[in-house]
Amino acid sequence: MSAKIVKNYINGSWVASKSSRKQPVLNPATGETLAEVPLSTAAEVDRAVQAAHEAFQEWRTTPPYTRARSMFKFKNLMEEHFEELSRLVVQENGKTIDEARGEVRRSIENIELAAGIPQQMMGYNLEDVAQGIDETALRQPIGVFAAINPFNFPAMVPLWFLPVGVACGNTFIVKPSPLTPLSQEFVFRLLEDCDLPDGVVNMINGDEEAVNALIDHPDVRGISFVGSTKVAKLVYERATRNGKRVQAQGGAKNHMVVMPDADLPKTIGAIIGSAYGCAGQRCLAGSVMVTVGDAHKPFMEALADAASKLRVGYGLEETTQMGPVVTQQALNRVCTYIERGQTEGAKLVLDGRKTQVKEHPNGNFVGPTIFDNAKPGMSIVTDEIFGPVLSVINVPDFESAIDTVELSRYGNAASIFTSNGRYARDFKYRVRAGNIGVNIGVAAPIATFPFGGMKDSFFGDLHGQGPDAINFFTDRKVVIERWF
Amino acid sequence: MSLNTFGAIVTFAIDLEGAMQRFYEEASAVGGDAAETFENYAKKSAKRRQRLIAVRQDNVTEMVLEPISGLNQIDYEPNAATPTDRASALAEAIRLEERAERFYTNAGPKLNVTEPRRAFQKLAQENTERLVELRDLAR
Repeated sequence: MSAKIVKNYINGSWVASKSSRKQPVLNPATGETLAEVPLSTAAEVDRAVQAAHEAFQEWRTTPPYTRARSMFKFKNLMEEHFEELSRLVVQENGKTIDEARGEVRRSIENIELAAGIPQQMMGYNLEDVAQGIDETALRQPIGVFAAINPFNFPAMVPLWFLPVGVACGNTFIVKPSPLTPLSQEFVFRLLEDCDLPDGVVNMINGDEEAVNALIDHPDVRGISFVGSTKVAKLVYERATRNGKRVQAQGGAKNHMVVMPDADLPKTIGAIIGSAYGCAGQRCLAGSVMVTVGDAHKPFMEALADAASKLRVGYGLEETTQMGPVVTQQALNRVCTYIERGQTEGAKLVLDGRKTQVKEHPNGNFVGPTIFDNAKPGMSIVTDEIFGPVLSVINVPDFESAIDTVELSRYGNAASIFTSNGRYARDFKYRVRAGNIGVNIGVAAPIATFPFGGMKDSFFGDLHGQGPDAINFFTDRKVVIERWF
Repeated sequence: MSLNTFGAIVTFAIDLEGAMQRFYEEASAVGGDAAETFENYAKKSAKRRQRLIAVRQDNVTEMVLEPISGLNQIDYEPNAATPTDRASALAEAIRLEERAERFYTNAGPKLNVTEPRRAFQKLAQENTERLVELRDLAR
């Protein structure tokens, strides 16, 4: 039996793509073909944009309370289908079932944020700025927005943008990753039951052709992007050249500094979760551990011991603690970096290439990997590997640790593990990263906070989530009035 | 097998309550004067199961997912025997409640999120209360 072909969702209907280009959607743990996804054409993108553009005219006049009620419905449907969606995320992405549940929970948090839009969109005013003249600042929606999404959080990342964008009165187009489109297909089936007018939300599957069509389309007013730094920069440059507002989140190489006074067992637990959660495939994964002074030996021993005990397997099994990487190409890239690390002179303490999952021989499995004696400048320290590879650098003191962290071209997240408030304060004050963890391995902001990113990890002015999202999805208008 | 993740522990608890519910439904059919108690326990186990599903759904976020150790599934499996009369039903109920109480008491502290830990504490407390009632009936 041939696999089902994923459809696009345009103007309130599921539409089969007419594109001749398709690619399979594979289960990373089993190799099973789950579906086929079309790589849509520019003409199909144009149809979606037109539908969204027309829908905007009415949607922007809908009272915010009515728009918010759609978000309450959406949240309730997500809660009702929570486990089903979580399992689908596992099957197409490979993460563990708990990681998938965490992802769905975060998705819902963003919908909850959007449900509060009547409060959040409010403006402000002042009477008699000059005698008899009043001034008001108000927020207005802008038009059609599009989100270009990565494979690693297929349910959540589009929902960093769509709920707030739509609740603010805009209309929306989601382009899922062609590696993991099924979660969004599921989400859109729930959105169908939220009483949104046709055209308010749309989904187009595709690759570079669809992305360029969205970025170039004159009726798309804003672009949200999450992916690699290389593509984030290209998207940012092209979209801003086309006059759009853009928020483009790129890659990362997050450092975790471990001071000698860090709590060893709790720190190890946090580092394991950070480095190997989602098999290292996330922009908040810690991938370089910087041990300071005497912290090195005890932490290295404990880390290697804990990492070697992680159960690698299929994420649908509850006791699996780490799943596969998303594709065979990703697996090959991770293995190449492990070879490079050895060639560069780092000491391979734990080799994930030796991991086998006998029950699933076709899976893209690579186990937790640790390099000791890593040095700044090695490719395993400078490059984003996007896999379960942790490189450890030992430095003599706190200042050297800060210097080491600051060498990175990326600035997505950084963590310090310490019991000393002064080191913690200094770290969060000086390190140029958008998401800082103090005794936290994954510094993931909740929905009411902006999801930061600095240096080559972010291009744009306004981040996703939180107040930044409200600012990104609305324009500010000032009205000065006088009545004779 | 080791219950080594947040999900593994809470899912085991969900399955445990499902098994308890089924046992109490069977026990109420042969329980004699204890039948009403068993029926109530079956209903409460169903509610406890729903509460645990909500716990699993509401409280897992990335920040707190860390490996867990020291909890073996085999030590807490209910393996409920089918009750044939009042005496066997009471004896088996006491065994199951002791096992469940031990599970929630031991597993709760391993969950590094307050709400699930509190939920497990409450469940263990309810098991303790049931044990008092059951032992009274068995006298």
